[in-house]
Amino acid sequence: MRAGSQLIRSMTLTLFCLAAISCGTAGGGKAIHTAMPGTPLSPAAERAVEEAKGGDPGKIRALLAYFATEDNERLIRIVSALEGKAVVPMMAALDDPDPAIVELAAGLLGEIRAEEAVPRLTALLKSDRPRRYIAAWALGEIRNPASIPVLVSALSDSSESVVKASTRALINIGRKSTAPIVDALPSSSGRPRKAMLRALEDIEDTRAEDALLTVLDSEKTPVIQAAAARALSKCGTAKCYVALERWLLDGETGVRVECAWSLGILIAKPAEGALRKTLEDADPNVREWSARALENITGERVLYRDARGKKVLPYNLYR
Amino acid sequence: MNGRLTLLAAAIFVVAAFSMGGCAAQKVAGKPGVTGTIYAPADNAFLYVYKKGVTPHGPADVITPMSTLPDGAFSVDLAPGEYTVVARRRATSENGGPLTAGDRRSETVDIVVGPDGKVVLNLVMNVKEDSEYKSSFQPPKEWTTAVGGTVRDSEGNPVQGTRVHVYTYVQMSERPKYVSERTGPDGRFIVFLPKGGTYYLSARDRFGGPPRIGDLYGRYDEGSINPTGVVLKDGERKTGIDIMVFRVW
Repeated sequence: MRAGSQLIRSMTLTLFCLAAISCGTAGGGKAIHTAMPGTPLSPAAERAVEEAKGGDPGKIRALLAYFATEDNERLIRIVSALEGKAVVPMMAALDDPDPAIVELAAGLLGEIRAEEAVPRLTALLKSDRPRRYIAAWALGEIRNPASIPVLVSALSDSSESVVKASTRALINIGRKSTAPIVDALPSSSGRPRKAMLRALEDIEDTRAEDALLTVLDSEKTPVIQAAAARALSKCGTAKCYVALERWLLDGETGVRVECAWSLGILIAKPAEGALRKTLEDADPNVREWSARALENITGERVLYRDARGKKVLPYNLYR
Repeated sequence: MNGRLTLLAAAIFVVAAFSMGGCAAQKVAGKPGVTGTIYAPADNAFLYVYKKGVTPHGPADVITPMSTLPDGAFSVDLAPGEYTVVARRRATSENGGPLTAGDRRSETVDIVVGPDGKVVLNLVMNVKEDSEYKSSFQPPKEWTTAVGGTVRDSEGNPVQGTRVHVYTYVQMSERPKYVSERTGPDGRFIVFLPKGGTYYLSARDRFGGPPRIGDLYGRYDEGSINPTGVVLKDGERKTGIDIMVFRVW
């Protein structure tokens, strides 16, 4: 299951990088109607590219206008190849009144991992400008630990897209984010707390285990408690088995499902007895996830009783 | 009489060669791959390449990036190996989604790509539609389990024209098990399901293959690497599931 998880990780990271720019049709900017990859550039765009290669900041910035109609994949490669020459014009474009241009410029600064842009991107993330989520995304691509405090604060932003992009950015930065998130966890609640737990889960750092156990044992909101249980699947050690077993038996349905998931991922042999009990849980989802966990622990297929009372095997999630 | 037979034999040979596609393994010089022509109709078709043994009803390993022009010519570079190819042409000019009345596809053809040169393949669009596909699906009344919510953009505005795809596998790389109707101006969706379980959701404006540049796409997740599973009991109707979509660039 861990191998499957790694595969998914690399696949979904690629996907997120691809899906970084919002549609722009409803947020007040220009709609983007990009050409298919491989479509030759128009003569005007070809000329603009040739001019930009000279390094003139104005000419490089002028390329942004062509993203609306031309093959974006090719334009990204062209701007990326300009490397340092593209940084100044892209940073200048962050002041553009058009949110679509700001979004492109910030995305490209992330794409070329422009360390110099961190202060400007931080300012954009702290602002109330539309599509500021892209600043968090770009900071996550640049991976400068100096961005961690603003990204942790952004987990409390009112915009869901900002929270989501900041979560992913902290995951991208990795283990250096663990301590700041763990420090912020006790005073957090609601959505920001859940986002912190999601980030910790994918950072996969056992130094977060104690903080996660505290949340698991003290949190009153089931969906957040469930997120703590799930995060322990990647941050936990044998130390967390007892707490996961306790909430597997006594938690709300969603919490029980996540405890079963985590005990299975951790291959928690001592929890086998508890998982055999929850094979008879009142909720069929808990029974199904208990069967999956037992299969992970014992290496044998385990039947469970589905909602219709029929004994069945859980399907393999990672077929 | 003899001349007629020769003509008939020649005609049979041409039909057989077309329907057999590249079985005769005719090759042209160049990088490894497949090249050829799509006929009747020749334009607006896409070529789908699957690794041998993979169902041609799932995501293709390669889809030609642009549809064929009136000459029907196509050419795809491939690593040496065994493949199954099929050409499809949709009335909508899209390169994904179920085939419906008026769409066409060729027979599937198995090819072997060697270390050099391209297999030459001629494909005839002689099959009107895939009989297994239905143009519209009405869930049975007994499907009372449902998941619903709103598809939104990065600013929280509802997004029109997307479908929500529901998967039972966490990779979300296979064909979706269930698909919603297209969202209206309010971005709202609902998908009825045969039973409870753990489901993974994405929203997009096109069918078929991985998201491409220009597509609207988003998974139901919280910024995490794996998608967030939606756990439903039998008969439960869970709403408030908001999916954020982005324009892939």
